[in-house]
Amino acid sequence: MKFTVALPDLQKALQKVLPAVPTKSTMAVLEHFLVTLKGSELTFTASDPELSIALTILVAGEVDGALLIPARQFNDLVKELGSAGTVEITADEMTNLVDVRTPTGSYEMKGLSANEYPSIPAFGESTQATIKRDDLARMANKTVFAVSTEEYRPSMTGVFFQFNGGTATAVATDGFRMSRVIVQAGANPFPTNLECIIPARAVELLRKVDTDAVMDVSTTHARFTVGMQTITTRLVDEKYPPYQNVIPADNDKTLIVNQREVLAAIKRVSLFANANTKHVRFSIDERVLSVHSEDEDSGGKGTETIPCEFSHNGFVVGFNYRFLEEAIKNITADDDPDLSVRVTFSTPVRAVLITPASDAESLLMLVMPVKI
Amino acid sequence: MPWSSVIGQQNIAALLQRAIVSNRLPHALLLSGREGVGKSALAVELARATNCEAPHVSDYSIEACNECHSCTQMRSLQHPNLRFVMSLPAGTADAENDMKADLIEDLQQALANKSTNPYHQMRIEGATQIRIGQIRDVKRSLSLSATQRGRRVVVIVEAHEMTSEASNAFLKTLEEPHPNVTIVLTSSRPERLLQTIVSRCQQLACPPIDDDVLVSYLVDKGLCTTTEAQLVTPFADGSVTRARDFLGEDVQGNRSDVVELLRTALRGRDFRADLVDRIRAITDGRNKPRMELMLSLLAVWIRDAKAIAVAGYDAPIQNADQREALTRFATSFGHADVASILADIEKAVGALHRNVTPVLVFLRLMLSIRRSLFHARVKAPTA
Repeated sequence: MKFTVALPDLQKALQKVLPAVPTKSTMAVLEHFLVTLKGSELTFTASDPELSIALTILVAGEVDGALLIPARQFNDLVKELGSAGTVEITADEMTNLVDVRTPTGSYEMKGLSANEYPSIPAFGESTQATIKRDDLARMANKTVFAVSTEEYRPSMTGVFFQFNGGTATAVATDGFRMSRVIVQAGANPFPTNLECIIPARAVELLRKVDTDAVMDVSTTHARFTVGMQTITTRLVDEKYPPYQNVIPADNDKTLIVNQREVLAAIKRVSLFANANTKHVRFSIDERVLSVHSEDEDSGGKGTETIPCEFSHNGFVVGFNYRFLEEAIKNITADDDPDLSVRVTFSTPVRAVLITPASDAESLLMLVMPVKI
Repeated sequence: MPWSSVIGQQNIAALLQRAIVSNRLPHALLLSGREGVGKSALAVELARATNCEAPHVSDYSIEACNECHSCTQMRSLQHPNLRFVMSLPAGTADAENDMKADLIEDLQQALANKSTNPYHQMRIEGATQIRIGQIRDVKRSLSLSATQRGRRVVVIVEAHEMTSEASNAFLKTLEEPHPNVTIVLTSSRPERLLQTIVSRCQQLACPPIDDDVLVSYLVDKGLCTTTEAQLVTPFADGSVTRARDFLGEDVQGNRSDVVELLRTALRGRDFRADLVDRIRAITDGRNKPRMELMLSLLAVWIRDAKAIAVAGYDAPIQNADQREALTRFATSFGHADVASILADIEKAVGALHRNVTPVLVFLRLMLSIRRSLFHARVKAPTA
């Protein structure tokens, strides 16, 4: 394999695939980039046991081939080469030696045979969905925080993607709170009856996509093609819990409150909450919401009172402030100071729904209250 | 490497192949047998055969092609569908992402050694337990779909080293495995496994390897001459690992040291100072293979003496060249409780593994043997 590549392109490419390289792995091959040259298309692939990222860039290719190059060493070298000029890279598939030449220096690295690298099964019978950039980022951003980290419920360790013709839904829950995002199909409808659970790590990567994405789903993998980059992840091979059943339809008490004000109040009051239980109490009247916390161990307590609109009078409910804060904070990413959130309740022990005041459908957060 | 590379286990290999071909491979297997008989080597062959892209299949056998992409990955044990779980030293992280670089390097080295020598004993220095965090990591990995086509094989090396928490955390996975997953537990001390674990696995006992098979293996590998191999194999207990370990040792010299040690322990009143001196000489340098060899030689000596005591002068014994000395020994101590002495020796081997001070291990053992043997002499019927 032999090619010449511009340093800025190379650096940009490595930065995109590097997140998939494990710092250290018992599978030594994973500490390498798989570098494949076909004509003028050079593809870098990096994998960890869960996902792999591949990126194709255009180079001046001379001899096709494929080899595994030590990822950290190669990346460190490329970083030190500065951001101007080109490098010539020659890899010998017989000896597995990689030779990097710059106008002033030459470096040699020991690679591995490309045959040892994990291969991803072909996406022969996959189903495809095209998702707009903003929609995908929204689906990822608004759900990933609610994913469970507990291993005993593996199905909840990922974000559930559900496509149904006109809409696509992303859901994440850890049993204490849930987040659901619904986006509408664009010019092309989404596939019907397509469901899969994407592990949280892959969803984290989708938060920063910079162009529309094509999602392919096979029985074992999901692949997101974002421009020249592809992110391929294993799926969580479990059945997602029937999340619709926990969304109450009979929450009759509605609270409308300014997002910024309520967040600030929770933040201040939570400083006085018990560090273990993280309890805060909402006492809501028609016009006033009072947020209160108390820590019997340290003897501290705090109360904030903010204006609100509430359909009832004298309702008291307790929350874990961390779950509540994250839910309200994620109602929108825009920094709109006047955004209002709608919080609906039925009884102090039933699920609480939080949505934007203007739109109750596309984004919904559910938080379980706590008994206080 | 073909199935036949796992020597002396043709029956188990044939059984596993039939199970693969007829698509009746159990989801959990417990391969038991002493260290070095090829339990994990069988597990690797199982993974190789079930993942090969173009295997040679007949009615009763399946052999990996050894050429495809999967076989290439298996050769270096870098296949994503094959995973080893083994004991880790105390105080280290459980999940790979959190492990320190030197531990990862040790694990990489263990895998590299295993890939070149299927009988390599995968053990990290100072490792004691398989912890719950490691089992959780396996469960998490199994909850995801397979990286590559084929069957995922998880090998729990020396599964009895799982803590009870780890064992209990594993029960559900063993009972309700994902499709296309086989969990292979290997253990040289299966009696230490929780019954709940054992009952969830199909058990296969790997027998010790015959001495002549072991001799031809050692010679074929170019490790020694036939004469040298014949000298060590009787003491290797049918284990390739032990035979290889003992190759560098002077077996006969060590045996005479052991016999002297036993004689000293059985002397009259003033034996203590001499016994301690002899033990110091044996444990000097803390050469673990040598100390284990010593214990093994001691066990064989005691067993041979019992054999002569029971079956007479012509009994089949391993120390055939020492028949006279053994007969004299059997006359005095032939009625000893051999089972309890052998159990004590086993315990001593375990203590050496756990890094107990060798002098103490040997001293305790020799005093215990002395008590058992003298007790037998007193109780022996006067015929």
